[in-house]
Amino acid sequence: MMCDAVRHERGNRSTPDGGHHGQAFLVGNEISIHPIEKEDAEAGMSWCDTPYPLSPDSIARWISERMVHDRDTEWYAIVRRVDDRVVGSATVHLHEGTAWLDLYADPLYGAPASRWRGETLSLIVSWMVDERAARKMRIYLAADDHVLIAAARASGMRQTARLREIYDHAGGRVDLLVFEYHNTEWLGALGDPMETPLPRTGADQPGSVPAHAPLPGDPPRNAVLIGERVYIRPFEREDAEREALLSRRETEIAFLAGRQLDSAIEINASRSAEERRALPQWIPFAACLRATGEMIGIVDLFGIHFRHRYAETGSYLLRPEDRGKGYGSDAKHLLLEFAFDRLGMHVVQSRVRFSNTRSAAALRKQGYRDAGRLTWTHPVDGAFGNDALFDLLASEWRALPRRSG
Amino acid sequence: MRATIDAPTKELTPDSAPEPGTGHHGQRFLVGDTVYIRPIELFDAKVGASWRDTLFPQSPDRVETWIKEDMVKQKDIQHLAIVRKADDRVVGSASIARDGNVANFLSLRVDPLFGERGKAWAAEAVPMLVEWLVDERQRPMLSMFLPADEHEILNAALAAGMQETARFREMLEKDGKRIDRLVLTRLNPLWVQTIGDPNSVELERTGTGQARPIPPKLTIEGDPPRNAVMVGKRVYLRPEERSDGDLVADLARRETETFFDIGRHLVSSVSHTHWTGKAQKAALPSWIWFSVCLRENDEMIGSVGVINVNYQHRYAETGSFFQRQDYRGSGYGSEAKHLLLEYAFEHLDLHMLQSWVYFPNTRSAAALRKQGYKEAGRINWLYSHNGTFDNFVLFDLLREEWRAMPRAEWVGPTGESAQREADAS
Repeated sequence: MMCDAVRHERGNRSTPDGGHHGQAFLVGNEISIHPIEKEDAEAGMSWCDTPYPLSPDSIARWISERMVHDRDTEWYAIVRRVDDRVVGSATVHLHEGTAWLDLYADPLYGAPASRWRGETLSLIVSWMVDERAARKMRIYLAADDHVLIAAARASGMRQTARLREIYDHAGGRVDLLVFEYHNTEWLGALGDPMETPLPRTGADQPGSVPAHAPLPGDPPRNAVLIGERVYIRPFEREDAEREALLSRRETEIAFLAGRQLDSAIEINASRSAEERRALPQWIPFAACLRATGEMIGIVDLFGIHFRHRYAETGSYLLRPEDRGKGYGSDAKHLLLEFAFDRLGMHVVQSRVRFSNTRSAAALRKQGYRDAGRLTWTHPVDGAFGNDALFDLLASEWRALPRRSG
Repeated sequence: MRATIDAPTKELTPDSAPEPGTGHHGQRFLVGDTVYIRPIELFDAKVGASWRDTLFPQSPDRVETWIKEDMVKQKDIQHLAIVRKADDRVVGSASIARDGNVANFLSLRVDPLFGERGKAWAAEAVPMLVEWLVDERQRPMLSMFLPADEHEILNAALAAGMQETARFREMLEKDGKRIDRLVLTRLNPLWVQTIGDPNSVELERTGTGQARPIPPKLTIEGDPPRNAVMVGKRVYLRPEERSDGDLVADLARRETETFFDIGRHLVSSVSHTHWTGKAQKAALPSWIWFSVCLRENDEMIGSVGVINVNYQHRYAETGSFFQRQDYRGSGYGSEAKHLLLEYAFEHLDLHMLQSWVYFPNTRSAAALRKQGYKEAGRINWLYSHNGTFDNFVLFDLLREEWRAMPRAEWVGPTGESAQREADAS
């Protein structure tokens, strides 16, 4: 009788070889997948993907105060079937029809840990995409993680991008591979996004980096880095009001897939929250004209990872009339100098929508290289559009020709 | 030469902007003949009564706190002000809630003190917002709920390409009368080209579609079960409690049916307990769930609840889920549901209940029809699913209808011996 089995298991999760009995899905040969519960905090170091030692109390607090609030992310324990021991975790983040998967297994187990992750991957891919109707699943894999790459391929995932030298593994740099799995019925309805050609404009050749501009006098107020025509400085409260106003004056529709209305209060709230962090994951700068001090745009680093020393770059010029004049590239090279020379980043990446050929051409001119694609990221023209990925190594940027000042 | 900004810098700080009527200058979209639309900013707190969609008076300080602490964290809802061009007075607001990357819901609120003029401004705002969100921002669909007596706004919405796909009867209360509420949707025509018109997708119906008698009210002999709120012949409803979490988590892992919702979910006990506790803390809860337990042994077999309870208009949405597969399809669900309906109509004094069912879940739809619910229409393209977007069928049930339904009779002197099998045929 089923209810007896239920009673037996309640509160008896540690009974060896019992935890998966009756589970109807997400059960593999060696492992099964359970939601994270508070008692899993006791063995947190086996499943928490953190480089820092965290006590069971800290992890229990994270479970009951943080984990339960995040409705877009699901945390699961990877449990070894023979003895119900938690040996790793799977995190699924659902956003806009994409399920992102992160897998972690306690590295102290060595080779079996890779195998368990592979088994978890194949269980979760079919559950999330075929049963729970995510349009696609995406995972980032280290290029030297051969067991998991094989498991991803065996599950029908395809490599969509290679970002060079993202990970720092035991003193060497390792590429990051993006793998995606697409729902078969959506492939039938929309066609294969891997076959959509990337439109290109521009020369594709890297240009030169503007030279450091010697200062005739004092630097502009609060400047962090200074170029010939533009400088970058921290954001100020009033900048957000200007951004909000100019977002209402935007005339270009296509490259953003529609104009957005930004409020100053929301812009300031997210920036000030980030500035309070000891190690920020997002560093935005105001790009200003040296001639007038006027703020003309934003350049930023986000998704900053200090351990592996990579980040993503972004830039935006607020007024249509400032675009196409090289201000954006001037400001971008100041941002790259900040990223590589001050923060010590090893590599940066950038992504643009396929339709945004102008930004893609600008990235190539700034020295970035094409790295692949992320598919079906946004609705456009009655289908889902793709993003192009780019990367740029610090060494490549340093080797670009410098213009004389 | 670089063009210069075409408005004075002082315009950037509205507190110091001395020239009313210049607020829309330079704005290139969402500007109409008499109103324009811009984001809500902190200084709008001073006139919160004109745009905040709240029943209760809120001071500018309270609205400012809401803007600073709540609004800025709502990543999936954008709040916009509807502003009169002539003098930059805020006359209302629009909010757009995003649900995944398919569904978008628009709500409008114009200060009712402006009377008919306010409705005209709302009617002007609708087509601008529809065009911006659907055609320019490329969202697959935009839906709006509208009181059926708002004719001017309705006509503007229909002219902007929205279609009426459902009518919830008597959902709203206005000046002592009950008013229907319409569901309006504009589908992105490019998406219709790609995946077809969802209105041509037929709803599959199973069962007879006939309502069945309600189990009669029961007088309990002896003591009620522990902590019971509503008691039926075979089941009773009691508040959810901490220990239910473990069972719910265990049963979620045993689920073999995938059609109720979009696939199975693994629920953790810790989050079930968290959300239950949170819902029960509210003074006027909007989320009220019960555990359904067997009278014979007090085992929990399912959950029923009312959600999104609106105490002003006295409506709510009902939901139920039987975690125990071995108790599905044998009348326990309907028995528990009628206890919930009695609670909602007679204890909470609600006037109307609605229910939303995912198209493939024909069994739940058939159960609702048996319980007396009527089809109110449909809402298309709520979820992305296997190469298309999925539709929901909508139901409503009025208190008077439920009260007028025939009651089955208990046979036997104690009232507890057996239910006449009115539905046996």
